[in-house]
Amino acid sequence: MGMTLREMVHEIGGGCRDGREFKAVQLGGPSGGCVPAGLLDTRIDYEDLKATGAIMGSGGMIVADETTCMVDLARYFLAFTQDESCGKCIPCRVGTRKMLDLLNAATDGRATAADIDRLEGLCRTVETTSLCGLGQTAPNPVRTTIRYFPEEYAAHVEDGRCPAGVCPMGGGGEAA
Amino acid sequence: VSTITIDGRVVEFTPGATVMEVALANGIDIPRLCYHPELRPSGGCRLCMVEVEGTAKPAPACGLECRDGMTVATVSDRLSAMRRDIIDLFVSEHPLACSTCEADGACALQQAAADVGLTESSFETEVTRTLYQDDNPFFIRDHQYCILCGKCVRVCDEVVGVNAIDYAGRGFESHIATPFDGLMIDSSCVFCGSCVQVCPTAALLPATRLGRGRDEEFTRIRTICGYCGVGCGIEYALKNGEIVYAEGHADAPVNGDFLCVKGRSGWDFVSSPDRLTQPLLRRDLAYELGLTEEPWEVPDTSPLASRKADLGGYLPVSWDVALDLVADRLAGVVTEHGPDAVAGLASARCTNEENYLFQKFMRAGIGTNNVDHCARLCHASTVTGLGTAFGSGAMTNSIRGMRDADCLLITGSNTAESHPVIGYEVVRAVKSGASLVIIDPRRIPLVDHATLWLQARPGTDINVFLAMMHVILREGWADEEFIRERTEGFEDLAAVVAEHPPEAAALVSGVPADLIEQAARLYARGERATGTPNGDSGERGRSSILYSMGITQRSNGTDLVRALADLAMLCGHIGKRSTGVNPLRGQSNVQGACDLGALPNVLPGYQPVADEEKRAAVAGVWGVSGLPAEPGLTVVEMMQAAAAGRIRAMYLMGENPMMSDPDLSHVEEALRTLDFLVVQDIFPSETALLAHVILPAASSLEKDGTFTNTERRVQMLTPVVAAPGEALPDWEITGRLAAGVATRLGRDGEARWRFDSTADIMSELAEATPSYRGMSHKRLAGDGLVWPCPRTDHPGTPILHTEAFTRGRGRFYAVEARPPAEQPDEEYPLILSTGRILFHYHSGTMTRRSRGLDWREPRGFAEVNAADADAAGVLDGKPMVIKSRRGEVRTQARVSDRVPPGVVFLAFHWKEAPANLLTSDQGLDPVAKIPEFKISAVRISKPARR
Repeated sequence: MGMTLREMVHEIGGGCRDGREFKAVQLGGPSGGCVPAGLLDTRIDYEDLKATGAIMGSGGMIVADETTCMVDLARYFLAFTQDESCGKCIPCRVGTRKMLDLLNAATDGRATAADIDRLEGLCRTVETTSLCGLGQTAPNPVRTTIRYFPEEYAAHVEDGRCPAGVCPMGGGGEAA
Repeated sequence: VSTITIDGRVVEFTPGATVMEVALANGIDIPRLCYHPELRPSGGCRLCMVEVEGTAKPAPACGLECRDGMTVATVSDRLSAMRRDIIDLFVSEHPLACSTCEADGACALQQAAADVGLTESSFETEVTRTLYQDDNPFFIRDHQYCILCGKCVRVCDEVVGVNAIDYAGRGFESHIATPFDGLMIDSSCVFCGSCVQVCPTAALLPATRLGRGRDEEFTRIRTICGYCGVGCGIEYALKNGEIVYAEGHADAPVNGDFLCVKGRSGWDFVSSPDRLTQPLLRRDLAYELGLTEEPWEVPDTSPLASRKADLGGYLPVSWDVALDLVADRLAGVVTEHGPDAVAGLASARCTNEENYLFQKFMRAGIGTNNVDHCARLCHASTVTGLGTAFGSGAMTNSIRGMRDADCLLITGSNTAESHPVIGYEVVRAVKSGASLVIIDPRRIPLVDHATLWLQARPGTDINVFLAMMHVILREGWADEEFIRERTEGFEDLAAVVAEHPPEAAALVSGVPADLIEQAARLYARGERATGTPNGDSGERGRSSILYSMGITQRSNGTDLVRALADLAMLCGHIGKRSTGVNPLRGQSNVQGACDLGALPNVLPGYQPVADEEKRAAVAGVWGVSGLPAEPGLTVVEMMQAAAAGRIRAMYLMGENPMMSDPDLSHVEEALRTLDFLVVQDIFPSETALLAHVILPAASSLEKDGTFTNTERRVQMLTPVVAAPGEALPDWEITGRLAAGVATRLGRDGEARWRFDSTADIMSELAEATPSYRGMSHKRLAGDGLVWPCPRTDHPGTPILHTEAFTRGRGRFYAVEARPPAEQPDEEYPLILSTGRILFHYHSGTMTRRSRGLDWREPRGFAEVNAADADAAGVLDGKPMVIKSRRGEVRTQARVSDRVPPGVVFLAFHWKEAPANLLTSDQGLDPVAKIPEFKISAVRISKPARR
C-alpha cells in the first residue's frame, strides 16, 4: 500500500514480457477498472485508485500490453460478470447482457458510434440501479476503457479496425 | 409526529413505513412493477428508485424506510433516463404482441412502456423463457411474458404458504419453476390463483379468460363469496352477462386481493345445466290434482343410490300452481295437527333478509318455533358455550387482526382447507415471527408452519386444555388482575384444573407433558416463535385462539368451547386486538342465519323466545298479537319427531340434510314419513328428490341482500348474473308462500310478508334485531358494518368485550373431561372423523359441478394410516369399506400420514360415499344438541370380491 502502480508493474513485476509496450492495468478483479499508462504514478490506496475509476477490489492486477485490445478486454471481463449475475434485478440480469451484446458487436465490427453512446448510457444505469455490488461494479471495465482508450473504440466502430489486431472484425473491417 | 418531504410535499408517516407506502397513501405515484402492498419488498424491478437528498445514489422507494426529516424526489432527469433504460431492458425480453395479447390494457409493463413513450425496445429482442403450460383448468403459465418480478413466488410463500413455485436457474437463465419444472398438480399448488392475481403481465392468466377478449370489454361487478364464512369480496369480470373470471380486490375488507380456489374458480356451477329452473311437482301429486293423466308411484330407491339426479318423477308447473299447493298443504297441516306439526329449516347460504323472513314466517305465519338450520350441526356449541361464558356466541376479534398476533393457538380447525383465506392470515403471522400452536389429531397443512403440534388422540383435547390451564396456574402465568376485575367463577375452575397435571393428560392424550407445558407457555405469555413476548418488551404478548368443528361437533362441544373461553380469560387474552376466542364459522351466512333468529329458541338478535318482554317487542314490530313461547325443535330433533309422526310437514330452504345430517338412513326414513315436504334449492339435491314440491331458487351470485361473515361483518351482495329460467330469490318465494299461508289461516293483514326489496326487509329486520338496529343497506355499502351496531351513528364493533363482557363479567366454567359418546371397541376399533377438503364444499352440490374443482378431486376418498391399512389389507388408491353401527360406505383409500393410527378421515362431500351414513344422531351435546360428527367408531376392510 502506498507505492505507485509504476513501481508495482515495472519494478516488482518486471514490466511487460518480451519488451512489449505497457498499455494498461486492470485493477480489482473483473469488476475493477482499467488504468492507462498515463496514470501509472497513481498510488495504490483506496482513495487514489477510486479517483481513476478503478477500485481496490480483490487487489488483483492484470497487465495488458500493446497486443491487447481494450475493447476485447472489456468484453472479456463483462462476459464474466454477466455470467455471474444472479438474475434478481433487471439492470444486472438483462442490462449486462445487452452491454455484452454491444461489445460483441464492436469486436465483430458491427457496431456504430451510437452504440458506444448507448453502451456508456447503460453503464450509468446498470451501476446506479443494480441491487447489489456485482451489478453496481460490473460496468467498471467498460467505463474505464471507454474513458481512457476512446481511440480504440473509435477505431472499431468508425474505421472497422482493431488496432491490436485481436478482434475478428468480421463485420467488414480488416484485421490490421 | 414524524414527517418526510416527497416532491416538495410534507407528509406524515408512522415509524417503519417505507417511502413507497407513504407516497402511495398520499396519492403520489411511483413507477413500479414488482411491488405489491401486501408482499415484502423485493427490489428487483428497480423502477421505484427515488432521489434522496444527501445521498449520491438513488434508492428504491419500496425498501426505503422513512426517516424523520428525509427529503425525497420521485422525478429527476437522471431517474427518467434510468427508468426508460430499465423499461427498455424489460421490453427487450418480452414479445411486443400487445395487440393480440390477452392482457392488453391490463398489463403493467405495457402501461410502464407507454408512460415513458417506448413503443419497442432499442435493444435486440431476445425472448428466452418459452414455457407454455396449460396442464390444469384453473390457469395457464405463458413464460414468454414473464418479467421475473417474483410477485407470484412471494405470494405463494408469504401469503399462501405452500411454496409451489420458486426461482430456478441463475442470471439470464432465471425462471419461475415448479419442483423440477414439473406439472402444477405434482407441486404443492393449491390452485388458489393468488399468483395469477398479482401477475403484472400475461404470464399467468385465468384459463377461463383465454379468447374472451380484452379487459376493456368486460364489465365488473363486486359481491361477497357464497362459500365459507370468511366473507371474501370478489370482483367478477363479465362479458355478455357471463362470468369470464373472478378475482380479489384491494378494497375487500377481509381478503384484499387474495382468494381461495373455490372463491376464485368455483363459480361456474351457476350455469350448470342441472340448475333448477321451474317449480316441480311430484308426479303422484300432479296426478292427484289432475295435472297429468299418468299415475306415478314413488320409487323407494334412495336418492343417494345414483350419482346423477333423476327428475323423471317430477312435472314442471307454474309458480302459482306450486305455491298454491304448498300453501294449501302447510295451512292444512296447521289446521289439522297444529302449528308445531310443521318445521322449517332455514339456510346458512341464504341472505340475512331471507333468513329473517323465513323465521318470521315460521313464527308469525305458521305459529311455531320449529325453525333451525345447519348451524345446529356446526357451531351450536359455540353459541351455547361462548354465549354463556361471554354473553355472545361469535368471534370476538377480527380476521385482519390475526396477522399481528404473537401467538396463535389453532385447535379443531383445518384452517388452510376449510377457511383458506384465514389460513393466509395465519401464514402471514407466522412469517412475521408469531408462534403457532396446533392441537389436532390430524397432520393438517398448517402443521408445516407450526411451532408446536400437539397430536392429541381424538376426544382427549379436553384433557390437554385442562392441563395447559394447570401449568399456567402452577407457573404463575395467569393474568390475576384480569381474573379479579373482569370474571367470576375462577375458584371452581382452579379446583378442577388442579386435578389435571400435564403428566396425567399425557397418558390420556399421547401428547408429551413437556409439549403441553411449552404450549401453555407460548399461549399464556404470548411468546413469539423466537421465545420473546411482545417484541422483547417482557410484557405479555397477544395470543389468539382459532377453533372450529373439531371442537364443536362433539358430544361435549359446549364444554370444549367453555374450556377455550376459560383459557383465554385465564390469561386475559380477550377484549384486545389480535387476541380473543375465534370460532371460524363454516358457511357464507351461518353467522347471519343465527343472528336473525333461524334457531328454535331465540328470536332475531338472540332474544330468547321464552322471554316475554323480548317476545312482545318483536311481536310489536311484526304487528302480530303474540308469538309462540315454547322453544322449538332442533335439526336432529325435527328428524326424530318426523320419524315418530309428530312433525307432519317440513319446509326446507337451501338445506341438504340427506347429505349433511347424521345417520342418513334415519333422515331418509324421517323425510319419507312426512305428509308434505317442500324443498327450495338451486339444484336437485339428494333431499329435494324426496320432496313433494321443489322450488327453484336464485344463487347468491344472482341476488342482493346481505351476508354476515364469521367476524360478524355484515356485507352487501350485488347480483352478478341473472337467475336461470324462472328461479327466484328465496325472499320472494318465502314472501309469496307466507302471504298464501296467512290468507288460508285467516291472518291477512297481520304480519307483512310482501316486500319490495331486500333493503325494505332490512329496515324491518333492523328494527326487530337490537345488534343490527343501526344498519341499513345504505350504510352497509363499502366495508359493511360489524355487529353489534345498535344505532344509526354507531361505527360497529370489530372487537368484543373490550371494557366489559357482553354479559357483564366473564364466567369461568369448571368443565370436566368427559370422553366421547362412542368409543372404539373390538368390533369397531377405529375412530372416524368427518370434515371437509379444500376443493369441495359441504354436500358438494356446487363444487362438484365446478369444472376445475371436480378436476382436482373428482371422487370420494378416505384418509387412513398405513398401519391400519396394512392390518386390514387395504391398499393406497384401492377401494375400502368403512362400516359403523349405522351403515357402511365404500370409497377409495388414501393411505396417508395425515391421520394417526386408529383414525380414519372421510369428508362429507361425496354422494357416492356419504360419510353421514356412518355418523350417529345419538349422544348429542346435552346443551347444544349437536351431533358428534368428529368421533364415530368404525372398522375398515377390503371390499369382498364381486
